Amino acid sequence: MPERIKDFPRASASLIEDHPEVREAVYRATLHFDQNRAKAYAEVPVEAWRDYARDVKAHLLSRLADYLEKAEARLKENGAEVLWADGPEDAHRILAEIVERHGVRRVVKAKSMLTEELGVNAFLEARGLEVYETDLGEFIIQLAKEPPSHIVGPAIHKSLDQVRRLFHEHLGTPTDAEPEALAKAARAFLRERFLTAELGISGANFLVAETGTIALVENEGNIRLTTSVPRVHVAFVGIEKLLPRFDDLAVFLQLLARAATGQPIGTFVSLIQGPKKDDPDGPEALYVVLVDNGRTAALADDEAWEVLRCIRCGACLNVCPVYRQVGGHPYGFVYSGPIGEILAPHFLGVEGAYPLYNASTLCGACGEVCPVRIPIPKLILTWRHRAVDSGLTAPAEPQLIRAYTETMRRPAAYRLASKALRLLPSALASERLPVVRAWTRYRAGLTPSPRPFHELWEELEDERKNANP
Amino acid sequence: MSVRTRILERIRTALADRPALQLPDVPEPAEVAWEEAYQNFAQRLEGSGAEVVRFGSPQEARGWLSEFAKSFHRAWVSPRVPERLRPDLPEAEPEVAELGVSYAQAAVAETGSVVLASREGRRGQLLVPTQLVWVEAEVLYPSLLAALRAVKGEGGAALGLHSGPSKSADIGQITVKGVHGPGRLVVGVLAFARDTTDRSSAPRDPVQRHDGELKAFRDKLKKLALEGRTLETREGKAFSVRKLSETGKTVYLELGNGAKESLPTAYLEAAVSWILTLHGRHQVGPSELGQAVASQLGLKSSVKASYLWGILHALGYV
Repeated sequence: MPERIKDFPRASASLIEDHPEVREAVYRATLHFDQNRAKAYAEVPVEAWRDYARDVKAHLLSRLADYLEKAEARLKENGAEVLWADGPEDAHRILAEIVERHGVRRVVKAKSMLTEELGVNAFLEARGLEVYETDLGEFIIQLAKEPPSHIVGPAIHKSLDQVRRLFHEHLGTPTDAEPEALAKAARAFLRERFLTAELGISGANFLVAETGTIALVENEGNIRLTTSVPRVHVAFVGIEKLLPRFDDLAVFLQLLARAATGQPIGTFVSLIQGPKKDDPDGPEALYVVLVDNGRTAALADDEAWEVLRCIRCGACLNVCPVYRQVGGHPYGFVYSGPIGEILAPHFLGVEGAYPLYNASTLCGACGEVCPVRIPIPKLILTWRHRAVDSGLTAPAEPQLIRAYTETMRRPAAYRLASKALRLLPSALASERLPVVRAWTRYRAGLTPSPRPFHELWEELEDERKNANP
Repeated sequence: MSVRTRILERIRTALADRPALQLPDVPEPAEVAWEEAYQNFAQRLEGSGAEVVRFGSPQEARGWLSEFAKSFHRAWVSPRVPERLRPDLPEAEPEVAELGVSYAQAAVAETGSVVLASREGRRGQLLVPTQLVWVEAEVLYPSLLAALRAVKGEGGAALGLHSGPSKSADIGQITVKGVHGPGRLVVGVLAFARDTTDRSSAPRDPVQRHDGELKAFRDKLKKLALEGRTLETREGKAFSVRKLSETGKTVYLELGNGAKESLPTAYLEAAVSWILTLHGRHQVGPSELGQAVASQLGLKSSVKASYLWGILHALGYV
């Protein structure tokens, strides 16, 4: 994966040149999501909710071990089996045992970014199992053999025509089928899988420590089916997904939906309290796998742990001027956009994630919309500083910045440099200078203004003095 | 060292030098009168593509139902739906039924949601193309917080909040309905006092009397009154059983603040019978318990469910 990450600048450039339709689809979808979010935020006391959500998550993380033990105890009381995984190997071993124990041949999956981290689908398929993604967006990209490009809308980069062609090829729908007909075909295909699968795999939006309740949020009903119809349910839960109290769900469920899609709440919310007891149906066995996969390392990072507050709403993707141009695939990592830029270095190290945290204009929009107030721009800067400290940037870069700092500090030097630029305007356009070359590769060239700012300022000051002697 | 120990140890090492941060109080939403709550509820649900019908009397609901049922051939009906609210249609499994009829555990005005209990069966809530959900006036809560508090620990292994028909915009950002779950959601709000004298509204599965067990229960209750130990409601309010009346028909309680309350023993016995009919110790909360007692005894008034629950909890029945 790090190889693909290094390739980010080239991959985004060629995507924009070769696939303008992706840029168009992503731009339209993210703008739509973000406009809905802004409207939905305005209807509620959102600033107070964001403070509360930030503080609940910060508190939880400051006592995470205690809360994990509490959640584990409650889950066991509710009849669930609790398992722990350091990373993909543990997760695969656990799944292999469950598959063996329950004679599983067919698996239905609810959308889960954590299972993307863990490579669950590839592992199960390699063991000869049938695995079906059941979220419509995930189903589309599974047919296209692509990873998700957005946390909430995994197939937002696909146009209607691309989906028509995919469904024509795999499900035999006409090439001009309307979205309703396409959805109906997917429903019929997946309905049969729901009814025959032995195992349902899901993630979790929240896990309440107080009651051992797993909360899952969606719009289609596929998560409710995945966790209700097969006789075994496995939920993969990142250890940062906990909430202290059942009552905390009230704000978190609403804030998540408002931030993600602008809805008052997800169309379907499942609150799962264990395997079936006196219920007429539901899974006979529930396994909850608590997964670390880099999270404890993030927690130990005094400067960058706040990323663990993330509730995976995707609001920062929708508002990001870089993400909007390229979508998620060029990032080459499970998580893209601003949150991906500050999650990736925890998983892959400062070098492995380079240069993802440079894919930002530092405009600050991501920090403005984050429902749990993660200081995303600050954390992006933290990783950039670390990249410089680790010698990952071009050696000329720190020297150049030092020279710039020196010039800016000395008025005489500044005036001299400013004059020099105006005498030699072609210097800023010279392709021979590496800095200029890098700049003009994707941007318009730089031309100095005819008169420097300090001259204009002095003139203004003089005028003001003359006007009010 | 187990994976579990390793993870927990890494966390404790990471947090060793960091102070525990304060847990903020849960924001309490403003109180809203029922009528306003209903308006919010209907507006939200309709805004997300559901249909809401309000009924002022049982006759009105019944009349509407017989018209509504005409467009369907087969229905799955939750065992929790009272007789008078069941459509006159042949019953079918959820896989083939055209209509599913559910009975809401709660409803939320703030978000426009109905809360469905897995105890009535989840397939019937999910596999049918059209879903009708009955909502009794008294279970409509103004806020999500109030509804969550009311249903906490109740309803079976899972609760489902439905806030509109199933939908997706994953195909070219165009919204389509009925992707996996029901594509049509109709909510019938019963905006009148529950008519519990109507015999047909009694639960479908009659609660059996467990006379032997009930005798054991009465003994335990007497012991509790003698000991006078402090009990707790689920919300943590302290109280104790002061004594039983001469005839044994009333239980006198003393509350934490010194106030006195009484509870008919019959309520407790009805609750115990109901729990035993469900085969043993159960994860039920006060309001579910209260509803079960009220429907068995045909009561309209409050059954002081929180104390009922506190006593049964102390004796290990819930």
